Amino acid sequence: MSAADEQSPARDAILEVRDLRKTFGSGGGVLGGNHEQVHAVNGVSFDVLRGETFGLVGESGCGKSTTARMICRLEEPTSGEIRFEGTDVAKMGRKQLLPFRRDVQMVFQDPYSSLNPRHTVGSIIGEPFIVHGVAKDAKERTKRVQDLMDLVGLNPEHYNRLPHEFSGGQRQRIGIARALALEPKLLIADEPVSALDVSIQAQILNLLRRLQRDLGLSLLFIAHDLSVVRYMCDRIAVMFAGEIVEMADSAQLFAAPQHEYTQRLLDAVPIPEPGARKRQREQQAEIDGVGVAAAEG
Amino acid sequence: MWARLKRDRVAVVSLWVVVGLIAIAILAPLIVKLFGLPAPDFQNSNAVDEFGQPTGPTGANPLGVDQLGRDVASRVIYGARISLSVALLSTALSVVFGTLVGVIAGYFRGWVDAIVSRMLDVLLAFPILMLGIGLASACSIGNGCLGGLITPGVPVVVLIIAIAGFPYIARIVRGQVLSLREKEFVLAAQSIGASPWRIMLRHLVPNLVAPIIVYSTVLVPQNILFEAALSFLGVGVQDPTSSWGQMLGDASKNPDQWWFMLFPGLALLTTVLAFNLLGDGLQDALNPRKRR
Ligand SMILES: Nc1ncnc2c1ncn2[C@@H]1O[C@H](COP(=O)(O)OP(=O)(O)O)[C@@H](O)[C@H]1O
Ligand SMILES: [Mg+2]
Repeated sequence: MSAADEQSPARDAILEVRDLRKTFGSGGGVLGGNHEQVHAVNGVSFDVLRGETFGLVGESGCGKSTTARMICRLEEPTSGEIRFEGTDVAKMGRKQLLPFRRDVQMVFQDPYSSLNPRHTVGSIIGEPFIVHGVAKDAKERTKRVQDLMDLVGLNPEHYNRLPHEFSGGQRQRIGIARALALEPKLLIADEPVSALDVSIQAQILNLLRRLQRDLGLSLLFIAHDLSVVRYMCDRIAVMFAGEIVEMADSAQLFAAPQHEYTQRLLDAVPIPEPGARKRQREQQAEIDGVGVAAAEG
Repeated sequence: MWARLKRDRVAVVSLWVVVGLIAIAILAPLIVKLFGLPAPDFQNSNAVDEFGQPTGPTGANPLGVDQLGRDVASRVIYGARISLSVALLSTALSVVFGTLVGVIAGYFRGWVDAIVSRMLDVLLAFPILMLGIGLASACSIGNGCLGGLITPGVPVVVLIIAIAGFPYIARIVRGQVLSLREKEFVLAAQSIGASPWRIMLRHLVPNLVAPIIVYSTVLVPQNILFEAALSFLGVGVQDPTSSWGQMLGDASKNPDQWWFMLFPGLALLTTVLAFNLLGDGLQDALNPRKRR
């Protein structure tokens, strides 16, 4: 069930991932040492279409972040191919890399570690402008930063505050504003709400969905929880132990999950209908009996 | 950090002693004049008795004189200048160089880190006091080494002490950077296209300021003692410039003249103690779980 076979060439893919692999612990240190190899990503293929929200779901440690980092060229793939708008990401030279960085941006999982504690909100959101030499004039930069703050629902007057003065949800908004500064075409959101209070998660998800529609973004949305993805995504790929085990349209996946692991993930989603709980418990007991470790956040 | 430091009495007192010492060092000429003391390099042959022995405390020389008839009080006060300026200057050099090396090793990891770390190991294993003695004594003959480029005296002493101290700073900084660079804000900076230099200087270094301050205050007293040791052995600060270690070295050749040894010794002890206690206080303030 290769992903490439399912895609008809007529569809306009902004991102194509083919047989992507990453093995950790193969290089070894200078002093040798027999490291055990971890096949974090083990032959992953998928496309993200222009303007769609594509979900990548799987339990913690299955290789989602590693995949995202390789797409952003923050981590070098062991093998495989990543094409962004038809260009091989691995082969980009310095000249192509800077525009690529503009076009592909990432929202990180942990809003407490993804903002430099010593930088003000203004300099965090404004850094992409400095690095890329846009909005060189300080006044113009301030204006654009404040526009971005407004866009993501932050008070633009809080421009000079430090990250620790904000709540988790507000911090994630800062991270989103930073990612949007350079008007990317593809936004990768790596579990953007998993570190947040449940009460705040919906706000951030709504914001992302609104931004995706208003700005016409292509969104690669990563989560460990199917309930979050259902609400966001057009298509979903389910990842398990470094591989994609199932990929389908969102509605189809929820209606008729093909893979056993997908069913297990679905069982973890709260189900409102009566009787469902009981059925779920029975299935859970079955899985426990088989001795598979339960997915964890 | 400062709020916690203020609650630590010992650290506050040490801080005031340190401030006082720095004031004495800066105002040395003024203080000497104020007390009507002779200049530190003035050799009063009348103050040495008929057997060539220095005299003890008198009205004109409250702390006595040395074997050349120079006023001990005046030389101790001027000695604070050398002691502090050598220690602070060498610490500053160690910190700048150590931070640079440590940040580069910690940020790039891999073979860069491997090479840097092995070089630091070698430096730390090196008997740097021996190097200092060798270098200083070799360069004290004739016109010095390298065509007069290196002559014994303050600059060489500063350089040797800075070389001895920077591996400690580099190691500490490297360790801090190794954990800092795992934070997602480093990935975020990379993903917007920031250069390694920008990440190191704008993102990593500002997060290292507090530990660097603490370890500098630990390094200062070490460096004061290092300077004293080199000068005691006669390969550090040279006559007529006065330094506590050098005075102690001279005094050890005149063991009967207690004043000659006591006062520079006391000055050294007070200074080192004050810096050490201040360093401890700062470390506790930074690291509240590590309480005594
Ligand atoms: N830098 C690394 N070195 C070694 N192993 C790593 C590294 N990064 C991730 N891994 C391993 O790769 C696997 C996948 O990790 P990750 O992509 O972070 O998973 P996810 O984001 O799905 O939770 C995990 O087993 C993790 O321990
Ligand atoms: Mg992850």
